[in-house]
Amino acid sequence: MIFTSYTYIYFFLIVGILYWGVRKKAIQNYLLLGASYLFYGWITPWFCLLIASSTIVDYFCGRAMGRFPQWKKKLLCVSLISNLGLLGVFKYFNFFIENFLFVFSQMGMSPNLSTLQIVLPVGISFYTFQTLSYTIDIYRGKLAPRKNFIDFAVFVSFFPQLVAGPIERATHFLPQIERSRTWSWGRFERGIVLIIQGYFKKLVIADNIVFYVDKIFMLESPGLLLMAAGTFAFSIQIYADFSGYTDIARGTAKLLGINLMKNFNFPYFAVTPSDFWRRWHISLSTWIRDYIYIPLGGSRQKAMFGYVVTIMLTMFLCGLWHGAAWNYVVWGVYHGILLVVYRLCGLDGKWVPSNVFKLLISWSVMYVLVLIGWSIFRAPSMAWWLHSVSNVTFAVDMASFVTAVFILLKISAYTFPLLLLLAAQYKKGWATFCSSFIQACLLIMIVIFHSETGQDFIYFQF
Amino acid sequence: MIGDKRVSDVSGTINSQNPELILLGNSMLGEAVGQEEMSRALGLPSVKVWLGGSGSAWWYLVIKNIVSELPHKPKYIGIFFRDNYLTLPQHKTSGKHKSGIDAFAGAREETLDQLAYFNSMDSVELAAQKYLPLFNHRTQIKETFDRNLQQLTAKITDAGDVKKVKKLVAIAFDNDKMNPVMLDRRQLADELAQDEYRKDMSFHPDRSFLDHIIKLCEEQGIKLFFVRVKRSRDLRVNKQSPDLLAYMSLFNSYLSEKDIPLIDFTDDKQLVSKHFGKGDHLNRGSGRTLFTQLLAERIEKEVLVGQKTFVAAVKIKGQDN
Repeated sequence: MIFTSYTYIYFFLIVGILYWGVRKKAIQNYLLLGASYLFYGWITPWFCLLIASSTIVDYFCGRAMGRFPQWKKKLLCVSLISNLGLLGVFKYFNFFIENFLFVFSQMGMSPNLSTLQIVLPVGISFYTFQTLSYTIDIYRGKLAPRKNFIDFAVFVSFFPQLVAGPIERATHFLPQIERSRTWSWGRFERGIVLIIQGYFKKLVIADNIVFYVDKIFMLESPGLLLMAAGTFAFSIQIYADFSGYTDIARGTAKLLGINLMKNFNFPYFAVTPSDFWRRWHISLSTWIRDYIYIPLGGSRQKAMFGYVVTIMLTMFLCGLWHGAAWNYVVWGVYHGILLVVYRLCGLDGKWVPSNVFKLLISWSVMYVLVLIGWSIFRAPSMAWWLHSVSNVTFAVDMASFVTAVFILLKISAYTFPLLLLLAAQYKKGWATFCSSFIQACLLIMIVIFHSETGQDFIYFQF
Repeated sequence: MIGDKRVSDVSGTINSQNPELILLGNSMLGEAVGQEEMSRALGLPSVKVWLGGSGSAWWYLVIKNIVSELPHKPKYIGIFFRDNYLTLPQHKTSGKHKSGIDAFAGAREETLDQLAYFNSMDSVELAAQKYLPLFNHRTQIKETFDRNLQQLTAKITDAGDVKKVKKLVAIAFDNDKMNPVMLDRRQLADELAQDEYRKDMSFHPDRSFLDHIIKLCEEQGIKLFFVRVKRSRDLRVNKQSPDLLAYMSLFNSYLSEKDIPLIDFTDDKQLVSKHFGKGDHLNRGSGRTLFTQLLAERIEKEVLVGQKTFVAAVKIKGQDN
């Protein structure tokens, strides 16, 4: 089931009414569990087996770690192997086989291996990381193992954030599942605002821009101007799509009395790569920081070589998480190189520009660097990206110029109401009325401008 | 409908040519048939009427609102189609295709509304259609919005006017500039992803425009026939699904009962890969030449009797397939 379907509206209305009708937390959690599995298995029921197996393995690993602390390491390995094994098989099996075959073919060999027809279960990258955070935190002594299986199962499968995050931490999310929820009109209002915002970002901005992005990234040799316009458009599309999903997820969770973490914090305002990764897909970047980067040594390492290896490995894995394709890996490595270069220039960590001029320069440079990264990320293949970059034409023809201007105007027109809303929300007092008025306008724009050739959320494929 | 240039182009050309044969379809017709070659081969006044990306809803509207109003009706109408398009009433009626439908629709089109929209609408959409004027008119609002942006673009870039802007954008995204592999993949993915219901291979002519098209032609005394075009998929052996084969068998029987010829090129061995161009179409070179000749022969043999005179063609601009 997807958020942008009418089926979901009926589904959530029924779940919401029953949820607040029963009041008792234990029954609410049973309801959430049933609803989450129904949501997840709506189109492909067998996906539920995978998430159920992940849930069962990690629940018992957690319980066992509490009971048999001497086996903590072995049990953590069981959890890691089962979750990463699932990910490895369903997401990366064909990728590794294809590259394995390629390497051997270059050496003149042809091993007898073939790829499989594997369907990637939606959300597997998200919920496996979420359950891993549970077992790892128990291992580290930061969390007590949970006895209530239903509560834990809801933590793993909570439908608003199941398929595209935010990747919640057990320390933040489990206590909310375990305590009673009370109705709050303020939270209801905030939830509705987030949901409207999310649908606007997805249905109006992202789904209308994607047409032009797809066209540009299908061109045999886009010139520099179209490539730049297409990449800029993609930067808006991916932000609107992904943060739109997060807004809907957080808004829905609020309507159920649960607070999910923020996943974006104006990422395109970043002034350094570290700043960007504190603002973009925060749940993933903090997960990678806490469970990969810091255990490998993090930024405390004195030796530059050690730091470089750590950051490159971390960002390599970050890129690989996004998908089984070389352009995602290269994108991750690219950001790793940026982090290293900025550190060498003394601009890492929490560096901030000291004046407006430096702010403008550092922001402009960072935004261009982010766009270059997005061009790699969006490229249909690394071969296409390399071909386009090496054959880029600086000459501007009228068709490209007019098309680029038209795309920019369209993006500006669609995003303007949202920018107004963010500005109104930033200010308090008199702007509350403006904010409500703009939200009403967003709703009207959703009715009129929602694209009828809507796409899946981008991060569903990860 | 009144005042739309696309409509006046079609009406004007048909009225001026007084055709005996009208060929109706989408870009499969537009790319595959050469009008002058067809006129020479048939020796019959003919008009080619096509709209890229159109489906049975548009073909129905052209027959109902244009052909039926002609003072001099054609003797024959040949409709080009792919697979099960004739019994998919919702196909190509929404999104970017809606403006073409609206252009050729009259003030009240109950059959169109019911078959193309209401039957497939969710109750939320039906309620919105009924009670929200903004929802009802969203296509027109979006088109006005786009037109204003195009005007602004024309001003900023000194491109001239909206028409020029549209033309330049179309040039920038011309299929010839696309990576052919990605274009093919995208076209096939678009077909599958956008139109889930196209997998519906149940044959139900009464719940589609097919029966209405047949009835309209019967009432006007027009001899109707259908042309099933060859697709690039058909170059590979056994690429039609069992469901599609079963559907075509029912379709064939249905047309036979009504004495309506079906000219099917799916298994034609003379059309090979070199005759195909980008995507699913025949190319405008060798493909068009050969197909036009083959089609003329089949039409002459299986459908028409008549005299050879003149052919004109009307292409409706603005929509891709």
